[in-house]
Amino acid sequence: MNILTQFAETVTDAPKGDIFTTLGIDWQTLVLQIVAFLLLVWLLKKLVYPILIKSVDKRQEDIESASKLADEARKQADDTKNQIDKLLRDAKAQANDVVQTAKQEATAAIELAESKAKKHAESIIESAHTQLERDVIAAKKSLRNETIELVALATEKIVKNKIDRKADENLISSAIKDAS
Amino acid sequence: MSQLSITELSDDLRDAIIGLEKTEGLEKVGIVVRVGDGVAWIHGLRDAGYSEVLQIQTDEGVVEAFALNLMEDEIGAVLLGDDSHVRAGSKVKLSGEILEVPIGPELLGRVVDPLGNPIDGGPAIKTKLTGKVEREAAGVMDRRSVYEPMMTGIMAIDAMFPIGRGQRELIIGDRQTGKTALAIDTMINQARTKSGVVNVYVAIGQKQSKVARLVDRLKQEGVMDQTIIVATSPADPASLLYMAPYAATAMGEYFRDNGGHALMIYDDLTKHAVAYRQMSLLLRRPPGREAYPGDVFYLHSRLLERSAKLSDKLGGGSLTALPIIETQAGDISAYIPTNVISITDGQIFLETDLFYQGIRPAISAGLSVSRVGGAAQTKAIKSVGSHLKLSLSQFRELASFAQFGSDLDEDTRSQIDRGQRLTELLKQPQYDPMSIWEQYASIAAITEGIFDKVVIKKIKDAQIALITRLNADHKKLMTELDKGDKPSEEIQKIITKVATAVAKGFEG
Amino acid sequence: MAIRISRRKLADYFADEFVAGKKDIHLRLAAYLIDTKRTRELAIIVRDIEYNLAMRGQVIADVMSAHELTTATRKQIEALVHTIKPKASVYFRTAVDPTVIGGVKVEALEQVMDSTVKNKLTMLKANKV
Repeated sequence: MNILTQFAETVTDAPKGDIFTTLGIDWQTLVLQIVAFLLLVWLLKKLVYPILIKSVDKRQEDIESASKLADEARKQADDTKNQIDKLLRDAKAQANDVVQTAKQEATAAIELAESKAKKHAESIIESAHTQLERDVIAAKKSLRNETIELVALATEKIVKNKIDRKADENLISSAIKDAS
Repeated sequence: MSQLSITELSDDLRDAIIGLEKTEGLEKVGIVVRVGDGVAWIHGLRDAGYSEVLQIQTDEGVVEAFALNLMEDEIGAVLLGDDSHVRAGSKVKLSGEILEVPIGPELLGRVVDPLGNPIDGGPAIKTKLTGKVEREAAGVMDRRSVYEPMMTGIMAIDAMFPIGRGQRELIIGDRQTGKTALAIDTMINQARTKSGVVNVYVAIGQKQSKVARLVDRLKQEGVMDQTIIVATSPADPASLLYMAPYAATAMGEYFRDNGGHALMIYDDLTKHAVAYRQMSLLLRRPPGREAYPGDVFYLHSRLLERSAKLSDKLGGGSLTALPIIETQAGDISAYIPTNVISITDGQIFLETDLFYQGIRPAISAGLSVSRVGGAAQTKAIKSVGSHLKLSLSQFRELASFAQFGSDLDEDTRSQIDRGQRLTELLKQPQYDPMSIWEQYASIAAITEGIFDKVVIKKIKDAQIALITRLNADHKKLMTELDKGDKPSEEIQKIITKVATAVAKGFEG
Repeated sequence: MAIRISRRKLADYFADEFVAGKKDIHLRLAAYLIDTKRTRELAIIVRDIEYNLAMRGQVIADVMSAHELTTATRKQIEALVHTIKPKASVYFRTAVDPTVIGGVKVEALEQVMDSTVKNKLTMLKANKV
């Protein structure tokens, strides 16, 4: 402290008529204040600033990482949204497929049923025609057989009485001639 | 509609009466010494030839017979009609001809007996030509190797045991296993694919109700127009049953010899052998194994040798045969089955077990074979068929392990899986033959793994869906495939795409 | 046990005996048939013997007609037989049956010509379908 007051006293002994005295600046005090200021700065730098800088840095880091996380989360949300969209699109397409197939199958089934029914109707008509034809043919056959039977019977009855010895001889003669 | 024409009738009768005016000269005559069980023993007729037709005069008209036993003192002739009017002492004349039947396109659409007489109630059949019932088969130089496919429409057969035109493929199995059903589906497929193949179905000793049902079904499917049915019932004399397949073959040979293609179905040859055995025993020929006569092999070999693919010089026609044999209790090592297996170019073996498991057609992939194989397969099916056969044979080996489920390694499990899918795929309903493109698409979907995720029970549904889609969206391209050539990249891609889309709808 | 001799061989033998002029053929044949218990075959053996005789020039013609045969007719029938077996001797076995109505039925050498009206009517009826 004496050193300090010593300096303070010497300072009051400064030459008169100086610029500093004009301005009222006591340069000794100024130097001391400057030294004290520098000491303070050095102390701050040594003790306070690191802590301060650290905490600021840490805050900076936290902010950055938070912002990064936010970005990522946003990105994930976007991805998920895209995925969901895609799934929905796929499901729609599948559903369309299934419906279309079902529709086609249904159409095909209806067409098949229709054509079967048509065929069945046609075959009924055809079989009726065939049956009719068959009946006609059967009638023809039985008529033919009946006629043959009657002709044979009639011939037998008639010829029996007509063939006498002479006629018979001629008959035999011509038959043998044919056969030879 | 035919008219009840009196003119026609009277012309007919006039002709019959005019025919009486002429007297035949002295004709050789024999006498029936004894008759019974469809066999007449005749004395005289010293010049009768083997298998010559004899005409027995009875009060009810002429009954035909053919001479099968030519002995020193008498002839054993088998009657071709009812023996109730034939009496001992009846006169017998020679006809001078070996047995012939009417042949020609006039028979198409008709049901006839082995003598060519219609039994469908329709008008009499007048053909321009007759063919010998017993005829020699084509010689070696007259033939060509089988190379054209005969599509049956049944996926299991067309993919694994393909049949060619001119081949003989035996269908063998126990009763009620679907033998006739296979044959019918093949006939229907010929009509559906407009292949131009004429079907000749020989019903040997089949119930008349069965034949009637068959005729109805063929009419419904529009197949009757290109089919001839030669039908004999169990009530017919054994001689008609014996003759039926030969007579029908003569009818089929007409088409073969004129550059056309015909398919013979003999249903079934077991009854044929039994009828022949009956006839031989009544003719007092010595019985052999199982009481069959010694020439029972020759009975079937000379019949089946007539089915052939002719050389181009002779018109390139073919006669394909699908004989059917019924086994007892799955015994394919019995006398008649082994005989016929050794004659034919392969067999399709139907198993009762498979049938009752629901696998229909109940084709045993292990025991069935086609000795013509790939040479007669369409290129399209060939490209997927080999995978099919291989996968199924691998599956068969592993089938007994299927119950272990998750204890197996990945490979084994996938093989079993694939095999189960294929087995499911090869099931096919009756009267529903599949065209070439349908078969190709279905098999490709499984062998390429596209349907691997489809639930096994839903494989058939997925297949139907696939075919419906392809038919609706790409019909033109698919019908290209029906030509039989290997499918182009484009078609393959389309099928893969559609199959993938369809598969999603049936995933488990 | 005796070997069964076929009918053909028997007929051959007996025909030879007949042509040789032996007299007791019918007795020997009857005895043989009774001995070998083949009496049922008699009719057929006789037929065979007749055939063999015909082959040796002795033809037996069975003729059936509605009326008795005239000489002219017999000559015609003989000529007919000669078309098959020239220079054969023809012996007639005639039968008259009014039911044949007319015409003639000739049986010889195991061949038949039936031009009777009855047969023609039967053939007409046989045209039935």
